[in-house]
Amino acid sequence: MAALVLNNVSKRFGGLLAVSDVNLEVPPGRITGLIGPNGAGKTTVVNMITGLLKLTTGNILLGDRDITTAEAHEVAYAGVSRTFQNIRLLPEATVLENVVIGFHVHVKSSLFAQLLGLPSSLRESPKLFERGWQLLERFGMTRFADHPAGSLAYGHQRRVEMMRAVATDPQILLLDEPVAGMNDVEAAELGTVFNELAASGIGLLLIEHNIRFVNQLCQKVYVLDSGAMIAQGTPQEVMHNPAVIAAYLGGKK
Amino acid sequence: MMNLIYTYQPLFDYFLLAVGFAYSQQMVLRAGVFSIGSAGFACIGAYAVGILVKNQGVHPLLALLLAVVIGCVGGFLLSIPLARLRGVFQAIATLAFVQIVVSLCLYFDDLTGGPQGFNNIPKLVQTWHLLLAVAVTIYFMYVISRSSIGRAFDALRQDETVGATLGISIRKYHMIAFVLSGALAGFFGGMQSLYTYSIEPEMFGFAFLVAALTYIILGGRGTVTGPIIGAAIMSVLPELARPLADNRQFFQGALMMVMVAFMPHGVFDGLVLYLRKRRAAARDKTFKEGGHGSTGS
Repeated sequence: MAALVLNNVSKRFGGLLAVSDVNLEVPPGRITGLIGPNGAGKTTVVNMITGLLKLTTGNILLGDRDITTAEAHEVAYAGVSRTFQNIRLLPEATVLENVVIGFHVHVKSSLFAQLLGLPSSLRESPKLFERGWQLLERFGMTRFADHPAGSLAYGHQRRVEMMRAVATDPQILLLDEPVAGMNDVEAAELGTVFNELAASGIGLLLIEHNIRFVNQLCQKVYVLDSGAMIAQGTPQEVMHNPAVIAAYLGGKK
Repeated sequence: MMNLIYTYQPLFDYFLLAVGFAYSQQMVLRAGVFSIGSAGFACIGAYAVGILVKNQGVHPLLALLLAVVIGCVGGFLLSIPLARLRGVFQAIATLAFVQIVVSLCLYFDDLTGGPQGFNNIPKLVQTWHLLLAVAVTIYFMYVISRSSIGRAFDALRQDETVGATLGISIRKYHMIAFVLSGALAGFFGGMQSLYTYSIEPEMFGFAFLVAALTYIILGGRGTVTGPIIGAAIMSVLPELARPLADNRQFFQGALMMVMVAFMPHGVFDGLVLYLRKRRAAARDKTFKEGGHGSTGS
C-alpha cells in the first residue's frame, strides 16, 4: 500500500486562486482528515487528485508514481477511488449493478473477447456479480440488491456509493463529506466501516464538516481556508489553533 | 395464409432492416453519445456495396464485409473530432456529417448516379438473409450488453464523471460505441442496397435519421429487446393507421411527443423499470411484515 502525497499543489480558475500551495499526505492504513469552512477548496483538492481538474502547479504522487497529469480513469487504475459530496449513483441501475460497475478496473477479459462473447468474457460477468453480492453482504445491503439505486433512502445511497468505491479495491479512498445529512447513529455506523477499511491497509482522506466525527476517527487533520492550508496536526492541536478558530468562527485579524 | 405472408413480406423485410439500423442508433445512445450519424454510415455502406457488387463484380459477401470495415473506420475517424462534444452539439455535428455524406453522393454522380440514384443493383438479399443478419446482430448486442463494455456504456450514459472515476476511459468507450454503430449501419446499409434494386441519397437523409431515433425512443435505449419493439411499432403503425394515411406524419409526431412526455424510457425499457420497481416494493413489504428475522423471500 502506498501513500498519497501532494506537493505545493495550486489551482487557479481565471483570476481566482482556489487552492494555493497545498501540501498534504495520506498515509496507508490511517484516516486523515481535511476540514475547512465552505468554499475553502476541499472538493477542488479532491477533484485535482482524481484527475477531474488539471493542476496549475505542483505535483501529486501515489507511492513512487507521479499521477499529476493522469486522467481520471488512469487515476482509478492507479488505485485512487472516491465518493462524491452530492451522491452520484447510476440512478437507473440497481444497487448490485452500481456496485459491479466498481469492478471495472479488475476486468480481465479483452475487448475482443467481450465483443465476440468468448467464454472468458461470459464467465467473468457472473463472477463479478458474485463479488458484488459479497460486498453487499459485508455492508448489510443485500435486501436492496434489486432496487433501482435512485429510489433508496439517503443513508443507503451513501452506502452504495461507498461500496462502489471499495469495489475498485483502492489504495487510497477519498471521502467527500460522507456523513453529511446523517444523524449521529448513522454516522457512527459509517465510522466503524471507515475504521475497518483503514485497518485493511487503505489510506482514507476524510473531508468533513462534522468536527466531532473527525475528532473520533482521525489521527491527523489538515485545515484548509480560502485555498490555503492554515493548520495541521492532531485534532486536539488543530481545534485549539487560533487561526482555525478564526476561520470557523471569525476573529480578530 | 400464403397470401397473407406474401402481402406482408416486404413489410417484414423492411422491419428487419429497421431493426439493424435501430441497433446502430441504440449503440451510441446507450453509451451516452448523442450521435445521429448512423444515417451517414448506412449511406456509405449502401453505396459502397452497390458500387462494388454492380460495377466491380465483387462477391457480395466480401462487399458486405468491406461495408463493415468502412463503417468501423468511419466511426473511428468521426469519433476523434467529436470526442470533446456532448449532447446536442454531438447531434448537430453528426447531422452535419450525414449532410456531407448525402451531398457527396449527389455531387459524385459519375460514381453514384447523383440525384437519379444508383440503379439496377442485383437483388441478392432475401428475407432469410435479413433474418440471419438480424439474429446474428441480436446475439452480438446481447453479448455486448452483458459484458463489461455494456456496463461501461450504461455507466457513461448515466453519469460519465462517475464512470471516469471508476476507471472507464470516456474517450475509449465513446470511440468503441462509434465504431460498433458505424459497423452496424454500414452493414445494414449494404444489405438494403442488395435488397431494394436502387438507392438514392435522399433515402439516407433527414427522414432516415428521424426514423432511427424514433425506433429507440419508442422501444428503449438500454435493452436488447427495445429496438425490436420500436421498429415493430413503426413498421406496423402505418398499416394499422391506413385510414389516417393522409395525416401519418402528424400522428407520428404526436406519438413521439406523448412518448417523450409519459414514457421517456420507451415502451420496453419503461416496462422493465416499472416491473423492477414493483418487485422491489413487494419484497420490501414482505420484509417489513416478516420482521427482522425473516429474509422475506
